[in-house]
Amino acid sequence: MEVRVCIGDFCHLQGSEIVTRVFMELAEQEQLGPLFDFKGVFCLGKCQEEGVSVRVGDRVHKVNRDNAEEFFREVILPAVRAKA
Amino acid sequence: MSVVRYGVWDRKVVDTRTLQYFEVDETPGFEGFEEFDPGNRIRAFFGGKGFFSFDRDVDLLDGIRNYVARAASESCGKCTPCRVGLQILKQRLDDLMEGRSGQESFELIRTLAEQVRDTSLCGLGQTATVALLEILKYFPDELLRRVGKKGEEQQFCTSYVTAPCIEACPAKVEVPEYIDYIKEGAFSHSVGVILRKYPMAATCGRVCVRFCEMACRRTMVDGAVGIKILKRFVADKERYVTDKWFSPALIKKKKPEQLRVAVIGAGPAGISAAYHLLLRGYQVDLLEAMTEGGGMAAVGIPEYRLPKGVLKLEVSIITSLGGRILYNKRMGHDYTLDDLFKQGYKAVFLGIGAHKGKALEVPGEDRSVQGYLTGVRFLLYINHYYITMGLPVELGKRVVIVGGGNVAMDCARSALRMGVEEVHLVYRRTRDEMPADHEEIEAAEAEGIKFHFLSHPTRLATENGKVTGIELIKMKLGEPDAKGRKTVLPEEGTNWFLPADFVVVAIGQEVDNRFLKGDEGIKINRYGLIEVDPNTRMTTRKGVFAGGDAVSGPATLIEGMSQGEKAAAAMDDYLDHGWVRFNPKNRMSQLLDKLKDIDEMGIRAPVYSEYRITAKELDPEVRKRLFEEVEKPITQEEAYREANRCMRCYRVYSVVTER
Repeated sequence: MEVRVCIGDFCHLQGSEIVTRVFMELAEQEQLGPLFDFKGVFCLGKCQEEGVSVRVGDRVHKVNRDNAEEFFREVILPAVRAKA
Repeated sequence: MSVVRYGVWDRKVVDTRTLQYFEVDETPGFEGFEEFDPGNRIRAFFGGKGFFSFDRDVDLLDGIRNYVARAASESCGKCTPCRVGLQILKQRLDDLMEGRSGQESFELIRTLAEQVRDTSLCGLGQTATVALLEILKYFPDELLRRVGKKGEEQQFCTSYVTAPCIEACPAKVEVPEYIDYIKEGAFSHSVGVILRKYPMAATCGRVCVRFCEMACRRTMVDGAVGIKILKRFVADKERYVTDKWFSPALIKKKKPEQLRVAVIGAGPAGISAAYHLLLRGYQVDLLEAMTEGGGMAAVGIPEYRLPKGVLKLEVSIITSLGGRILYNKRMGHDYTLDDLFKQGYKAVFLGIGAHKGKALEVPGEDRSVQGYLTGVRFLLYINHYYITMGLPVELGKRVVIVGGGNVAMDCARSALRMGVEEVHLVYRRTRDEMPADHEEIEAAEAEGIKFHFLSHPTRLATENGKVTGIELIKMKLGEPDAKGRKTVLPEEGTNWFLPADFVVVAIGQEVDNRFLKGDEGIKINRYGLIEVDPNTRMTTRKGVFAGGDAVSGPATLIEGMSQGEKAAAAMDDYLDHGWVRFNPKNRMSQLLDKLKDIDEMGIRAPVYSEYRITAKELDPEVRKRLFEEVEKPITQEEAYREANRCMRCYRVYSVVTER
């Protein structure tokens, strides 16, 4: 499953680093391996909205440091498992 | 006005002793020699090419005796002419001063001085008697009239020993000394020489731009000594970041606890300032906006040139010495200068760097479009997310880098290592004018970066908020400007388009000084840099000092560290005495810079060609997809051979002053 986190200026300041760390740790815990195709990108075109842009498949979401874990469990994990 | 009354410099004889001051014009080339420090006139100057006196009444015998005595004390003892000859000469000059001998000894002194000059093995002995020989040849009467008059008049003399490599280094590292220790196998002593100036020896041994090698006189024989690789060799070999070297217990004199100092920015300037302040016994807190130390060295230099572990270890020296590094503390956001003084800090050093990338300022350029970044941000994110956190970063298939400096090279080579298929580099002048290190350019070419010289961007093409390419125009070289650099002019009608998924603009950096505007009391000059007094390093706000890129504009690691060291010395003076003391060594260095003597010294040593050792590198085909360090260390045997190529171009200089 293709998951992309924005690491551009705006999202970096909004907490890309923390969101990335949370996703990576959870992916390891859940032993997703290569099913979780996770990369950084520079800008997903949603800088006008608060939060870090995360694209799961074709859809761009806004995530913040507080709901990163919840987002991973509720959106990313089901999407990855569905794809598998 | 500097009027030479008599003297010989580089075989040119000047003698205006019979004229009155008003009858003589200023002597060209000696501008700025009026005073040593404010109100203290320079009376005479001695160096490796001769001497000159601005005062008819100066005691030349005393002046040359002091000069020879200093040279004798600096002799390493390896060759007899210098070791013994200079001692005998000093004794003979003492005899003259005390009246135990007279003109009859001049011939003996001359013969001895010629032997020292002609048969010594290194630059020290070869130049230490030049001034004496010129005095004996052209002005023996000036010596004669001082015979037996020791102590009649007190003279003040300041001497200085240096070499072209030392003078070229912004930090004035004693290069021949640490190379001497490598020859002897005394590696810890060698590292100790470097550590007198800064703590980041292994970092500097990897990424220094090598002003020292540019000035190395060995270039006139076969090629500059590999000073940088020797520094890296000895720093890696000694593995010096241990408790044995750095511990609060090793700092003998502690300052009172209330004299706390804050250093803002853990870049090269901040680390160096904190290091020297800690060694002077101060309590230092280093406040860093990012999550790691090293500043531009950490975020702007890729892993393949400077492994993170090396830098991290050297940053840890600050905490090993008892300093604190407080990360994620952004000035203007988490605290202000006023807050720091309210918290009890007595002085502050600003080493905030120049982290804001310059824009091209062409149509279509918008920092918010997808696929556009400035060079420093690009390197920062690659270093931070990919190298530190292990997150792969998607850049597309084709990346275009704009710029010709080291940052542009780093961006291009890093992009290649991120799996990009094609990396293009656009530069508006020719390859010869590129400011990047030539080794970096060659490495980039070997790795397959495509260069487009004499090309300049005119428009950034975007579609649906995403970069699609860059429009360029062909340039041609014009007449040289005032600085001698050729101007570049666009050739009308030669526009062409280079498609790209990502464009990185690496054409320079500036200081992000937004948080300093307002009531902080720090003046920013018209270039957007922090204004400091060049002598005291203090900003327009009392007790606040500054250095590094934020003061000089984007410069080098070694320049940053040098400014940090100088600021620490000034802060120590300020906290100890309330004012910054005069530094005679800095002044001597300024005088030599004016004289340009150090650059023009020729080679007289009987040296034989022995080509420099080059460090082995990973194969370009292998390394271009890896962030593994490209340059490999040299062996101990190679280091010994390379160290023996150093010709020890030492020179002694001295001034006679009024007080």
